[in-house]
Amino acid sequence: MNSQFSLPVFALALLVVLLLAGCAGGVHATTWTTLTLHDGILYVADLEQVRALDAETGEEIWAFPSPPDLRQYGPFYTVTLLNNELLLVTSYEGAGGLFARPRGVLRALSLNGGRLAWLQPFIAGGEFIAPGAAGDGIFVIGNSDGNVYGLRIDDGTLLWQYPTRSRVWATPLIISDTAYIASLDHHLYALDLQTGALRWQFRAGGAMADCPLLLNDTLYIGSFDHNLYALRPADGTEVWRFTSTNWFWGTPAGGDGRLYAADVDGNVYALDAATGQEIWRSRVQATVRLGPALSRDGKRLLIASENGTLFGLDTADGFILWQQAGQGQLGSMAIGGERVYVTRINAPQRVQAFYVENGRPVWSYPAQQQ
Amino acid sequence: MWDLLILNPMVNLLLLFYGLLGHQTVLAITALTLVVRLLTLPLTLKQQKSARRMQELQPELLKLQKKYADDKEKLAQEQMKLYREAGINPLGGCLPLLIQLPILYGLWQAIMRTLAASPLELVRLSQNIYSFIPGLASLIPLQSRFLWMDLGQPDPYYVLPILVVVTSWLSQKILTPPSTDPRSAAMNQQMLIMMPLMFGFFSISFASGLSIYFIISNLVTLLQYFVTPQSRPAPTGGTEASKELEQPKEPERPQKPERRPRAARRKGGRK
Repeated sequence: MNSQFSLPVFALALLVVLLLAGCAGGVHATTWTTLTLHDGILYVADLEQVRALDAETGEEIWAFPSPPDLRQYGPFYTVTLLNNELLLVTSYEGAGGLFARPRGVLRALSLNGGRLAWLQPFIAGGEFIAPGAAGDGIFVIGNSDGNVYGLRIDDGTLLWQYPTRSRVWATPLIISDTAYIASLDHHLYALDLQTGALRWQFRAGGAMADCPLLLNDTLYIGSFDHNLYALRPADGTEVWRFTSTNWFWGTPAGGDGRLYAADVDGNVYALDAATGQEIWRSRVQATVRLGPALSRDGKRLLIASENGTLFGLDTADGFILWQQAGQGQLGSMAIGGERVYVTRINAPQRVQAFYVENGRPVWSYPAQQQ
Repeated sequence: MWDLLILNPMVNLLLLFYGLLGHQTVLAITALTLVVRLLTLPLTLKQQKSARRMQELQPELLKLQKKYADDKEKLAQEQMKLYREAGINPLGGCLPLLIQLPILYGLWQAIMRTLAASPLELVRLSQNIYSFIPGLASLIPLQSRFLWMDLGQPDPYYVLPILVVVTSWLSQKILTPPSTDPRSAAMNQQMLIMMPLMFGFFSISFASGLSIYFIISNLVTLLQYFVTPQSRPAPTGGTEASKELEQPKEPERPQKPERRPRAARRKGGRK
């Protein structure tokens, strides 16, 4: 390179590096954070810490670790309720040494006080992106290293692992003795919960990145091939498919014979769960990754978008009743009574509560400065 | 607008290559890099030609600097006159470079976006894929395993970063003209170290698919150097003038007989 242009090029390149490296500081999230609601308490993986918050007021009950120590623990992304006593949290820790690699780490914390119950000694090769699921004393979770892991809830012993051909970013669905889990390798796997043995697999035309929904003895799952599939849980046979204009990412919601799903373009559909026939369609002007959530009374459908806006739709016709804009991407949603709780990343307010009926804010964590 | 004009075409081209080349991510990145480098070749050559002519004028510029050291206005006038006589636009090398930079940045971004190592990046990718080309969405995610690496993650054994540094150094070295002007030589030497190290830092920090792009790009530069003689830099002159400016204690012999700049020949100046 000519020296006349070297300095400006170097300066420009340096600027690009700094921008790409996110030199502004703070935690740089690579995926979304999650929460779970249990017995009036919200358990939230909030990057630096796992927190227990009072669902009524948003006040912090406990946090792990305290004080936060990102260097040692890495960012926390997911929480899963194991039983009435334990909470499983995942983090992505950077190991020391020249050739060392970061690893996905599992910890079980006590619901009461957030004390460490066990630390899984095995090392997963990648990040745990989605929460796991628990059933019959076994905890199942997928990892970016392409494996599905089955562990004993009591002590974290690894019972089995099932390899797929791509990253597993989906939460499993455990029904009876079967774990259903999707992989980005275009397959939905039905695995024996006790052994991890394959029962059946269903191949879609594209990747699948979220948990299937079981409704009226039918599994529903969306795919990046623009299709929403209805499958028989017994053998994975396709019952029907509904085609949209872009990827289906999030888990559909359902009730009263209807299925609600949103594609990443923001198209929201209400379908007949039995036939896949469209009942209505609506559109929110935002990218939608998270699956819709249905209110307890079935009257409101909540859509969380990547631009931070939460939408409340009328399930009767898809009309957008309210929308609540906010900073950062929405990570996960949980409905409890009259409220919906959300997590946000890349925003000062990491957890928020809104009224389902009208979208009015209830509280934020951390509390907004007056 | 950026996505529409730069990023989306590159992302979709990369996916097309991926589909056509047997789902081999490295081959797809190579093909896209070659296509982009081929498309920007006229700009590259123009920029190099302009740079070469500027180098040829260095001796005269140094003389002018010495002659009009106390009169900046006159110096500027004489420099412009020299450029005019030589038929050179002093910014002529910048424009092609400025056009290339966003294209190369777009290529970088397209590779990072398509590799989609994190869920957040994958969601963004959903907005870049043309829905009118059937089957593109089914190619997601790209096969990211290559040898011992996950192309969406940095190389854990630092092999690719080392290759990036070596090839960057080589391409930088052949494109840097030998200079007997001490200031120029010092700056060149600094850049020769800094630039490869900076790209090495990129390689350690970002997806190894990006390192593949750096290596291919550097190899293309090396190939271009050997295939197109006009891309080779001329040795910078200015020996006497610069020596006078720097006032070295011991006179040095020029390392090689140097070609006289055209403008100097026209004016009958002595080397």
